[in-house]
Order: sequence, then structure tokens, then C-alpha cells
Amino acid sequence: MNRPDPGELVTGRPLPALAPEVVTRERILSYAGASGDFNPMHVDEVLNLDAGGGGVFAHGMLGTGFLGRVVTDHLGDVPLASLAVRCTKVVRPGARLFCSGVVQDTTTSGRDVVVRFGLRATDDENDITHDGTASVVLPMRELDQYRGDDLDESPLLVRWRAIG
Amino acid sequence: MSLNARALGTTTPATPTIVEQSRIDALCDVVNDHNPAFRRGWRGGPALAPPTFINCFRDAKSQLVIDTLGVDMPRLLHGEQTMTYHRPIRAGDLVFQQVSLVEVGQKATRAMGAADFFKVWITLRNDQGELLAEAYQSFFVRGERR
Repeated sequence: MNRPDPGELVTGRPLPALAPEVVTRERILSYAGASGDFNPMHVDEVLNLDAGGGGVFAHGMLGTGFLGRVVTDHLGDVPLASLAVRCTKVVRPGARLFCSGVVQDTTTSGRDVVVRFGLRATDDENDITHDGTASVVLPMRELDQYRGDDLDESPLLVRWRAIG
Repeated sequence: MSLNARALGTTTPATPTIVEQSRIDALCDVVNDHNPAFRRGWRGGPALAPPTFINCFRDAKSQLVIDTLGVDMPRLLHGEQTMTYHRPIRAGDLVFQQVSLVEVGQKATRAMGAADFFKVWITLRNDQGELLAEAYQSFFVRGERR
């Protein structure tokens, strides 16, 4: 799989946007099944309307999953170190979500580079539905250039290496 | 407030769960994730769990939120989540899920005015007690319909 060069991840550079994701009723039900979250507000139109919800809406974590993909689709098998997302508008059936990301900043931590991305999903009205950040940890040099003692100093890199 | 404020600080027992590849597949299918790292046969070994898989461990959370805190599910809204990944979680792993109620109160919101609010801290650990992943999730509970 592709291994990103930290040199390519400069502040302000956009990540490739995802193709629009359509949130259908079927998809909301599928997410309920996949996550085990059968809150009736997501899956029961009658109960939702009765409770004043205005009709079923998607789980916030569905769009959060799309935002995680903005990074992981691009970085391949580099694991995320963090993902933080705020749900700012409910997503109703039929909505399309446009998910994008940008390199927010890079900081060095020992011999690693921590890259933080700004992430956002917007709907057909161009309103933000999800807003957040993700971070990954990348080694600054090729892994085989590290000596054993470097690994002790760099727990973040060890995590990356354990997976990669 | 509709919530049981005395539930603050409650922590569930550690609930053991085996990470099933079929559950990873179900999540990847619905979020349209085709990353081979999350799929069976990746590098000849067990696949990794994708970033939002931590939300697929629910037994302890539901028990805490519904039974102990007294949340009326139709009024529940997910506000924010912050997930941090410490060690890889792989298909076949035995993980222990624990949920703590770390905030209970009221907050001003744009859409609903003052609303009941709570925050949970979810941890996933291995059988050595090492932290694999953790998440803070905050929720709002809408008031009665007028």
C-alpha cells in the first residue's frame, strides 16, 4: 500500500474529497445493525414523529465514519492516532454528504511527525453537518534506518510499526 | 433535569467481547470503506478494526445510559466524540469494554436552548489491561415536547 511521504503533507494542502455519500433510509438501518445502535429516533419513523423529532435522521457516527475515511482512504494502512468529530446538524434520509479534509498542521514529536487534519462534511444546503480533526503519526525516516534504541525513545513510532 | 445526577462517576464492569471480522465487514460496508487493512486476509493475518469500530461496542454503554442515567432514548442526540487510538485492535482479539459517566449537567445549545447533557468515557483494553483505544462521547437530551 501507499506510504505517504511526510514532506507531501504540508499545511493547507487538501486531501482528495470523497465522492458524495448518499444517506438513505436503508443505509441508516444498516448502520443501526452494524453498530447495534437501534435508538428509535434513527429507525422508527412513527415513534420519531410522535416524539417531535421531525422524522428519522442518521446516526452521528455514520458521518463520522465517512470523515475517518477522508484520511484513511488517502493514507492507506497508516492508522489514525485520533479522530474527533462534532455533529452540528442532523442528516435526514436523501441527503448527500460531501466530505473533505485539509492538512491543518504538522508537529514533531521526538523522531516522529504528527500530522493533524481538519475534516468537514457538508450537506446539499452547504451546511456543515460534521466538523472535526484527525491525526496520524509518521516516521521522519525510513523504518529500517532506526536502531533499536531509537524505538525505545519513540513509542508513537513503535505503534505505527506494530501495525505496518 | 430529566437525568439521574447521582449516576455521575458510575463505571460499568469490564465487558469482554471478541472482535468479529463479520462486524468489521458490516461497518465497512455501510460506510463504503474498501481499505484492505480492514478486510479479511490483509497481509495474511487478521484485519484491523476501522477508526469508528469503537462505537460498535454497546452493551455496557446502553446499560449505563438507559438503566443507570435514566435517558429516554427518543430524546437522545449525539453531540461530539473524541477517539484516541493507542494500540491496534484486530479481528479475533478479546477486548474489554468499560464505560464511565464523567459529566452530567445542563448546557446551553443553539438549537434547543438549555438541554440536559452528559459525557461518557469508553475504554477498550486487552487482557493485560493495556489501553487499546478510548473515546469521549457527549450527548444531549431534548426536553419534553411542548
